[in-house]
Amino acid sequence: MTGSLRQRLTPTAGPPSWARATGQPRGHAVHLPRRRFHGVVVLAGVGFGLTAPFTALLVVGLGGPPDRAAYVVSSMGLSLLLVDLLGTRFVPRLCSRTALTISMAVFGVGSALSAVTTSWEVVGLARILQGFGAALFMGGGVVLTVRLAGETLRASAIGSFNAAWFAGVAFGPLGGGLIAATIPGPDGLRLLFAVCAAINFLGAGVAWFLVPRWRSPLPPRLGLPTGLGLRGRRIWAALTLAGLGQAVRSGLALTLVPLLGEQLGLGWVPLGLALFALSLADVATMHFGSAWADRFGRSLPLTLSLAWGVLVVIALATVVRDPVWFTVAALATGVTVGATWTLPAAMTVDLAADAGNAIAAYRIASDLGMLGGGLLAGLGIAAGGVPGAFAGAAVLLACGLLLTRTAGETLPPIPAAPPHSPATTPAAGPTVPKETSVPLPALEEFAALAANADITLTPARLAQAHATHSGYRADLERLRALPLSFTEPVDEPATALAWIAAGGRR
Amino acid sequence: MSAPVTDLADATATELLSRFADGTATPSEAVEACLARIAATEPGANAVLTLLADRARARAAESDARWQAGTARPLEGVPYGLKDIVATAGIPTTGGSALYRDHVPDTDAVLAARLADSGGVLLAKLGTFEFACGGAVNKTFGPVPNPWDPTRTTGGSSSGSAAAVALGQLPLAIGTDTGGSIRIPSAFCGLTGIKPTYGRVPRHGVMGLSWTMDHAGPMARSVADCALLLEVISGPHPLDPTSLPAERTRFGEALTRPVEGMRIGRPRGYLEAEMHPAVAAAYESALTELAATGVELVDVELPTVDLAAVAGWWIIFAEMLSLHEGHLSGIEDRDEMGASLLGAAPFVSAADYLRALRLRPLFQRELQSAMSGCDALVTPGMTALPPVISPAMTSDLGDREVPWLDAACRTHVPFNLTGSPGLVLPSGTVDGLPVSIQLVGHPRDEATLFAIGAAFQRRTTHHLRRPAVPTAA
Repeated sequence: MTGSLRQRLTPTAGPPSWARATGQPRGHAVHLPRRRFHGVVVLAGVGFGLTAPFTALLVVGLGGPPDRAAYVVSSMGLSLLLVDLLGTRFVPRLCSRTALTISMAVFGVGSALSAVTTSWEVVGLARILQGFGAALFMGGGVVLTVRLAGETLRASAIGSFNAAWFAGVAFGPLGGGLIAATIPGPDGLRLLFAVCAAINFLGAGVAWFLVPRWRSPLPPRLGLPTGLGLRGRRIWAALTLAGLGQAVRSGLALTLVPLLGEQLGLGWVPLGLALFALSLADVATMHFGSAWADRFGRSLPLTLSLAWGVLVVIALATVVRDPVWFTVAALATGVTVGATWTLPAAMTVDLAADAGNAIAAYRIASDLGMLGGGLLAGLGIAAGGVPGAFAGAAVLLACGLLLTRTAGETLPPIPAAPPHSPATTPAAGPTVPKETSVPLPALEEFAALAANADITLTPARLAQAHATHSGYRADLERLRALPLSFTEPVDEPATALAWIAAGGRR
Repeated sequence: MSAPVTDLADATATELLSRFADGTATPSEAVEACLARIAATEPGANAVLTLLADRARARAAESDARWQAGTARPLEGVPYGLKDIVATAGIPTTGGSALYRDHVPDTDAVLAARLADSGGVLLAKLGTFEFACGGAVNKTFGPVPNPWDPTRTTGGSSSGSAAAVALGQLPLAIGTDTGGSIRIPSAFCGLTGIKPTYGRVPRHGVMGLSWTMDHAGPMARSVADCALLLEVISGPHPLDPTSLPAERTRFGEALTRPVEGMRIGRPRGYLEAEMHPAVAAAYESALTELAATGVELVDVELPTVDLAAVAGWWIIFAEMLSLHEGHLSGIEDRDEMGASLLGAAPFVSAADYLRALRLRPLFQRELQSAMSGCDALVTPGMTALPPVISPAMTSDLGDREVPWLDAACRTHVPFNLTGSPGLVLPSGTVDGLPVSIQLVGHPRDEATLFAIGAAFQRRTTHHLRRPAVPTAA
């Protein structure tokens, strides 16, 4: 036969190892892989985030000038861009378990390199190596996350993934500050990078055993992306916003804010505390803001967060001059950093015909943003010092407001419930205008449906079925909208057979 | 003196019958030629699941006698094969599955009985995707490689039927078609195959997948052979209440019918929207050749044909679940692609299934409207070249790859839903691999398709190209 399946995602043959190990699937088996996956994501967040806000400080500590510190922070964008440019048909098609395991191992090697060097230039090279790991992780992880989510839950799925990651990342500044403070000067920072390496190596091992093994039905191929099918000013506006979001992260959160803290004379621990506050706000915004965006739209929350960011950055550039207000401002900055990360991603997926292509384009835009953010931060520092760079950031955020207006609201309309009408005489006319559209049940509800029918499927098979139905969803909605008579007797399939028997005549 | 037996393996059924009639060959010689070709190509071809050499030799001897006695029947002495989901009394019928490896039916399927009664010589039971719904990688019996390129699939699910006929193991084979399973492997292997009108061939004794979408039909190396075979197996039967209440038609008479002036509709939309550029270019060339037969090509619209495909799949999902519900408990032991279909089936609601059934007349009326004033439609027989064999195959569309069933079934499954006949014809090559066109007819009007197809094959030689025959492994 021939069954056409829109198998947007096909698990490898046989159940994943965690299902095999436990024998028959259990009632909570569907939740278990997600929890474990998110556990690995949190661990990766810790591993990836422990050193991120301290990279610029290590560069300065090893004798590098502050503008070069900005370039080093953004140098990760080079490897991210390389992987995302050549790997749009490679990373998303890798076995998820392999991709995430290798990503953490590579990041660990980069961290170890920074730990043993006394040259800030080598830190830059190590940062590029870390970027390869991060690219693998984000590419593989986000694809897996989106594939498992229904059309109306994309933003919250991306938000949950990012939130799980940044829950780990949030620990980084505080934990990193505490670790770095154990040894004075740059050596404390190098110790921090060594601990980071160890955590990533541990995470790689854990990922190998806990990450569900998912693989695209398409074979991995290296090559420049082609035919992403992204056309129209709205989607390009969304992609530019995605780049802006990453620029905000690299240029503002990871460079300017830490450098300002250092210039204000904060020690590693208070600085870590302030950056921890930023991360907390970042994570909370991603998690709650994304869920809100799935219900009420993307445009309004993004507009508000960008406007808020303009005000906060102006404050950082002009009035924040003591540790307490610095910490408060860092907390406030986190709102904009979180919103500009997740919402443009959801907008891009909303507007693209294919989720995989959208994610690939989003990643490339983000990488360019990371590079651009560091570059602009460095130029800003060189031109006007750290306060001057903050002023430039405010201008960029204001530009983001215009782009948000161009992109417009992208959330797919959620079908409204039909109006209640008395169940008496039907309205005149022989057809039902449009049937109620019911959103695709969540994966967990698929499990309940199967259980209700006394059908036992492995979690992997269940997720595959869910992905299949997700792929068909739009067409099925159209099918449901075709009018059918309800005032005439239903004699199918007799009518169809009579048509055939009559040679296609009526 | 008869021709060398190796020549007989490459002969069509029509040519064999002609030679039997004029005494230049005998059924026994034809059977030996086919057995020699099978020996030369198996096990590499992996098309044959059960070889019935002794039984075939005995039947061929009886046919020799009938030809000598002047009592030959329509298919007297012609070797043929059956897809292994067609029941054969006393002969294993596996369904391509380990679950039925030792299953031996005690009665013939109606079409198998008709073939035997018409004098055909059953030579082999042929490979299939598991239960006609698996993928190319059959875990129990192995994949059937495409004779034109063994790294690629024959398509399916009538995979063994296609490879066997293409290699000259047999001149005729029976396939079944729920979403393209006769037409896709025929197209991929350079054969002529027809999915007849729904109900034209009784399906009693054929393992079902979707009772409102399943069809059985011929796969051969020429239009004339398809007409010959369909003539034998068609007609109503009391054991199949869905069989079409139309008496047998002499399809062979249509082969010489003039086609000049016939109008053939070309629906350019969904059915041509996603094609590999080289396959699309070959399709355009084929249409030029088709027009050279004297037919007139006119553009027609099928605005909701994409939804017909969705409706078709929803029906298949629901009905395959009903038929294969008992296999859900061991779903992970099934072949991956079939398991992926069966796993998705429980989540099709009864309301959606019934809606799809009730919408079928809508699509039929749309097709009727599009074909008004036309004798047939023409569509691509394939949108991409056969994919490389793997558990989860993809088709290359030039700028991207898509799941192979999306590409392969695109031009076929809508006509399973409407029940219309569809004939695929070899129409050229791309990168050394055959490509095909499809003619879609009015219900019950296979004769017109045969007329147009025969005219096309009189003017072209695409159907005469054969893959190189590999040596014995």
